[in-house]
Amino acid sequence: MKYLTARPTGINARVFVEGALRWLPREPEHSPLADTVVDDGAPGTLAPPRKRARLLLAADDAELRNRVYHLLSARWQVEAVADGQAALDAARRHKPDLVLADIIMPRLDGMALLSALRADPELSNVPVILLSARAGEEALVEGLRAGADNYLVGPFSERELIACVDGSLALAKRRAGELASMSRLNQLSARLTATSDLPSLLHEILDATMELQGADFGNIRICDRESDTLELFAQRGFKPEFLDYFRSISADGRSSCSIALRDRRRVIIEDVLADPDFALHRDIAACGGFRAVQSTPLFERGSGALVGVLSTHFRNPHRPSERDLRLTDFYAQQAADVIAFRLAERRLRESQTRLKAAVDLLHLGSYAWDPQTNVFEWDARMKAMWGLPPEASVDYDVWRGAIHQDDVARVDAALVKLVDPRHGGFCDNEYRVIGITDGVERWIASRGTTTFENGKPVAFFGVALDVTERKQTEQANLLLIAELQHRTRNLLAVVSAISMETAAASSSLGDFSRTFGDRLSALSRVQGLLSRVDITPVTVRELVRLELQALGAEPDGRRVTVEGPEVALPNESVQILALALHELATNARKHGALATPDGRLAVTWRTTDDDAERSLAIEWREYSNLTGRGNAPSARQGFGRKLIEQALPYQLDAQTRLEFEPEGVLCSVTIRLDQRTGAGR
Amino acid sequence: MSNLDLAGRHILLAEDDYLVAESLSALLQCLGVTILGPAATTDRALELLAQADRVDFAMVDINLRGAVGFAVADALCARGVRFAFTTGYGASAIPERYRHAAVLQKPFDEADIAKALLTLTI
Repeated sequence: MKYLTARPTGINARVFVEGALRWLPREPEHSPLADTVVDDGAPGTLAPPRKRARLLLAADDAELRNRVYHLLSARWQVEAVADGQAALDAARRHKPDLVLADIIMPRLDGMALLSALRADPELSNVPVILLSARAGEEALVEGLRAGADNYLVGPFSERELIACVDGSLALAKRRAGELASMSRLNQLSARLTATSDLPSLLHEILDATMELQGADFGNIRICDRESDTLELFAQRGFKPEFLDYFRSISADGRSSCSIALRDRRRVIIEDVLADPDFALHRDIAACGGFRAVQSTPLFERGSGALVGVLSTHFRNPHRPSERDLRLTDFYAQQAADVIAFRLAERRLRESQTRLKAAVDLLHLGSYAWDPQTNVFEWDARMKAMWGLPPEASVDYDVWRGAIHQDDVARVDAALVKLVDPRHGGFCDNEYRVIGITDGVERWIASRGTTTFENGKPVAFFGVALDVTERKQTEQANLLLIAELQHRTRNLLAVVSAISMETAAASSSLGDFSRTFGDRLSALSRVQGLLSRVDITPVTVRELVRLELQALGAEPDGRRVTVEGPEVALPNESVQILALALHELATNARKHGALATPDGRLAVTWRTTDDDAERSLAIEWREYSNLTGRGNAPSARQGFGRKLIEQALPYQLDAQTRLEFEPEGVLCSVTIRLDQRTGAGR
Repeated sequence: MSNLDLAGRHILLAEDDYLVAESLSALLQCLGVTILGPAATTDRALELLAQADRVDFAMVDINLRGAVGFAVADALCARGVRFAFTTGYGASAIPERYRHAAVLQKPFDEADIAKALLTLTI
């Protein structure tokens, strides 16, 4: 019987991931199966601090087993068993670092043992070396196919055996190291997406990188884009006074961080004393206590912007392996993601603050609406626009119920578009709202945008502004413009009609141009009065004097008299009366009272009231005694007569009379003075 | 301009400005049209419409003596008579239910009127 004693191994170094390193020696355990435990022979030759790998040897052939056991136990802990089943049981009790198995064995042969190990999730990664006393090449090839790591065909030398075991153990250790690093990386990635504690994440990344590289110190610096400096964010191992000195690093310095920042590449100083580029920085390195350093720049995904630098430092000269650097790059990317996220978060906060200030300055109300749940979120300003107190609760019915009935259809139509992704989910609308508690009508300008997910509206956000004042001004302006347009267009229609009339009655172009010019002047004079009728109405006296003055016939109380009470004319009567007066005055100057030195003109008016209405009667009487000279007959059928006898009755329901009496012209016009002359109202 | 197309048509004219009504009547008469009116008030226009045996078309000033109303237009619609509004105001002065109605802007251009009438009465 051979005995194997499990002996205490060195304490494990810190392990990243327990599970990934399960194959490594653990604290000693006494095997309950003492009869299979053999003494490994030479405890005194084993240096206690070195951890010794545990090998499991399975061989039916006692000679082979003994020989191999003998050769291996000088270097490793070896457990030897006689068949595959015993080996499998032993491995399940205590996971070995490596299994050596003879191919031909009772109970469970080498191939079956290999399959059983590979099928066991706990043992699947244990390296297996197949042994064969004879050259059964076919079986070995089959074994390699089934997942064996190596094989030895007898007879093999001691050196062959040792080298084979050594190589397999080293390979397995590297594999496990990779696995541990990847697990660590995966864990960090998972945490990165789950945690909001970013500073602690950066510290973890730093720790992981330092462990990976076996570094003694390390730090992560974040790039301040405005000053283009690297600010210390996380550190391990440095003395505080050293860090105070290097809290901020610029691109023009000599440190590895500076160079990484400046050149945007990884910097590795294997030995600060040997590196000529680092000569000026040696004292500082000495002060910090490191001989070697590497600085890996951190780049933001997408933009490629440098957001920080991850540095590790070593007390002794050191150059991280390519593998370590490759894994460091993974950590560096995670650190970059964390920093980019922090920056994005800060930018978001800043932009939210600015947005809030802008919203406040503009007196914007903001609202949010979930079209699926119909939940409304309004700020106090929004509620005030609906005439609601800040604490009021708002839903769809509150919002829509207050909208002016004339605007509801338009708002509804906009809403249908708004929740339809084909219309881009944007709305820009102005509508009236009747305040719910105060009854005040307000104009609201609202702009909003919908967020869609899979073609369904999921959120609607917008701002609104009380534009009542602007709307009122706009509407007043629109009315003014419409009125101006109306007056201008009607005036042009009248001018065009006058030109036709004048042309029909003119004997020559000169005649036309003189008469038409006079009539246009009369029209333009009265426009001057009309421009202010909304403020002060035009009086009869004003209109009469205006027309007489235009002909140089200033009322003098003797030859020309103008007499009557102050009476305001209805606005719509002013223009047509002015034209009629113009025709009368022109006729008087050409043929009547104003054409002779002894002629006389009296214009008088009075108002009369009866039960039904108030009227104004104007009388134009000329004393020219022109019987002998004969009045021009054309004047009797002219434009003036048409205006007085047809236009005034047509337009103002006036009663008119125009007589060419022997002593001179007599004209009387009576119009109603009630607010509107027409029956249209 | 072919007078034949409009000749014999009976057109109701509602326009409160005498001079404008006069010149428009003269123009339409030149085209061979028989004028009903002109009417200066809504009441007069409705009266003419009620009395007329035949009305082919109407030209209606939106603003008759300061009364912005659509009683004449409503009556024309009821009788199935096509019409055009005449106005110095822009199209914005016309209410929703008459958005489709033709609008002749003052001052009138002879050619425009003839064209409009031909389009609208055919």
